[in-house]
Amino acid sequence: MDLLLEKFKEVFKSVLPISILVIVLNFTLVPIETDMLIRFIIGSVLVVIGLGIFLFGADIGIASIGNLMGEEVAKTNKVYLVALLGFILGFFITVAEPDLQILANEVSGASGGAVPAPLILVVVSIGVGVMVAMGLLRIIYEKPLNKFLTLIYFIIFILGLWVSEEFLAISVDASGATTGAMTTPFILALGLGVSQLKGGKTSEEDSFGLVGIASTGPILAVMILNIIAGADKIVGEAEVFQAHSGILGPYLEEFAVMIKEAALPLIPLIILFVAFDVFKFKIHRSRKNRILKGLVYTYVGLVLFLAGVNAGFMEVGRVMGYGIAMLPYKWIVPFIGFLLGMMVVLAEPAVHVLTKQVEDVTSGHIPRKIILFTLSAGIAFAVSMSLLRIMIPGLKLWHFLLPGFGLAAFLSHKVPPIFVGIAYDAGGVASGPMTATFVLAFAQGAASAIPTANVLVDGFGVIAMVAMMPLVALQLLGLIFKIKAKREGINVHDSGK
Amino acid sequence: MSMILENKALSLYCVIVNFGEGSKVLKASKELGVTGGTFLLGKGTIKNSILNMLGLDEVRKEILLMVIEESLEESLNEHLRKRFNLDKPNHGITFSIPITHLAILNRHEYISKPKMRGADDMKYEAIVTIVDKGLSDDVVEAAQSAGSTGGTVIHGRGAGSNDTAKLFNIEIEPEKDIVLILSESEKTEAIVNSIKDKLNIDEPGKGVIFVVDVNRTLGLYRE
Repeated sequence: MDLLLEKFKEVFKSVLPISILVIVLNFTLVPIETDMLIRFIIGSVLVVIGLGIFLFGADIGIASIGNLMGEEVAKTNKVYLVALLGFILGFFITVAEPDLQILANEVSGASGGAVPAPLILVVVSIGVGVMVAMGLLRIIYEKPLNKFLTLIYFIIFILGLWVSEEFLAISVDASGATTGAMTTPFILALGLGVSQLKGGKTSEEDSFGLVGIASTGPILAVMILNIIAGADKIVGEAEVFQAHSGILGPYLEEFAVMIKEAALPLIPLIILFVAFDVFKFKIHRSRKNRILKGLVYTYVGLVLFLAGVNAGFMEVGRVMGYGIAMLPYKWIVPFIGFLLGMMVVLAEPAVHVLTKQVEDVTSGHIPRKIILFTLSAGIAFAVSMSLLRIMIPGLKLWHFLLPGFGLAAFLSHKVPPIFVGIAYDAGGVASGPMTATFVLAFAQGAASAIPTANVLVDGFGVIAMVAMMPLVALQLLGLIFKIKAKREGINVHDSGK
Repeated sequence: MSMILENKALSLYCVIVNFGEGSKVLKASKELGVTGGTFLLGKGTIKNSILNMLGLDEVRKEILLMVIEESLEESLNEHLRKRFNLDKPNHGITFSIPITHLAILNRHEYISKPKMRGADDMKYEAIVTIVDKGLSDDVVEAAQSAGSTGGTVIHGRGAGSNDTAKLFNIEIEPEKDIVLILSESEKTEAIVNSIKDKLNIDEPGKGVIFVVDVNRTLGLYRE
């Protein structure tokens, strides 16, 4: 039982900070209703339990499937098959992502119905499929990740010149939406499987980066769609916010929704797994059982986690954001955002998956704690900058995104390659369900209290910042690693070799 | 340290603990004068029918390898047992293996030990080479040129006496390649010297080679 206890201790430690922060805020700055506070505490407990179970499942279920498929893809040894399989995997995993379906509806509504939601869904999924295929081919052809990503982001930049600010934000948000709790561990494991089977000198650094590449797919797709469809103003208003009352009611509601939503992304995974197993893997029965058990855990864990986040965290975020922005001393908003960002990312499911993979691949050379620390600092910065942008009308999203992505591209040529992969992956990982829900709600709450802000427009773009900052933060960490290592006389492989 | 280690009985001290504990064990060992260690990652299993049924029977483990003087074994055992509660179940295990020869910072050529067990069968020895990551190909090449038929590379991380950097107060342990080569006793000398010369193991911080006796082998290809 030690093992279970260990896991829950780890998860508990990562959820505790954010819970304490909210409770402290409740008793000092913004008192919230008792019902809501109780719901938040129940939510925290559900998040701990759900996250613990989910991580177990992700490890033995999704990650195993991803690894097996990655190995199988690499074994085919035919370029067109690698590309085709990559596309199929990327497409079907994305099309079933609930977050993306929500986003597609929102975007469709925001564009006044000019772009139908199913079209957005399909286009974004094609985007991910194409990029996963490209990412796999990159590993097989040993093209350097930094050059590859710089090229993609350069294309995004060029396209961005024709896209309105609103759609710029939406496109980056779409990339956040596609890297959901199920998708990310799967794509991470897929990249790992391919690079490990391929082996060779770059195998370690190639184990990362596929999530980063895949998450550029939606950006490109939405931008191209916007340029073709030509809708450039967001119309319509954000939904009127209505706080739930009661304690159990919202949970029952959320459970009913989540039982369906969490199942959706599992369906293509199971179908693909069974299909692969019949034709290719033919793995041992006990191993298959283990994987299937893993999928059950993942599902149960995710339902609990998402219900906890949606019923317990979201409204609190919204109310807190509003309450804090209404305070007479406005400067505190970005400061609270800083603390919030710092703590919320620790409770993000895929962050645990990524940091564990980093430790496994580098045999513990890059410790989990350092990645977490850096990521925490990065997200804290991202959230506080987002709030500053909402408060100051003159500050535009691209004032942050352009230098941010530019700096990231520059750094990617300066730091050890493995950090490039980890950083770009972390961008997709950090913008998961916890951050997306809670931070977004907080920002929207703040926006609704600030007269110059627009809840709908300013809400988009928060995720973009959260997805961008890890690229910079973790690559800076790589730079420090390199400098430190050099001074102490350790051999870290240079990107320019 | 080479001068002290020379001509003394040595052992390979192995510790298997849960992931994350390894660095602490090494740190505690260093207090007693151990100069460094190498970590490998592994997976351990638990014997518990409930956990087996739930599929939760795999734990990440760290295997710590340290080359120490045999005379240190006793006190290190005691020290680690107290510090990490190793006499209680599920806190980890340790064991040690005698080392035939160690080549680290050693200016002398490696000379095979005289045969002790008589000339009954073909005798084998395991040559373990620990070098910085990326150098395993050189090691295997050098070994092959001296008559070895192959080797196995394991990926790990290691910390010597002077090469750990600190970042936010967390030690960064550099990555290592560990090359295992099984060789016939007669060839060991040539192989070790070949690796030693090619990778300049004599110089500080370049790596470690040690040789462990092997009792029985199967599946080795003999020309």
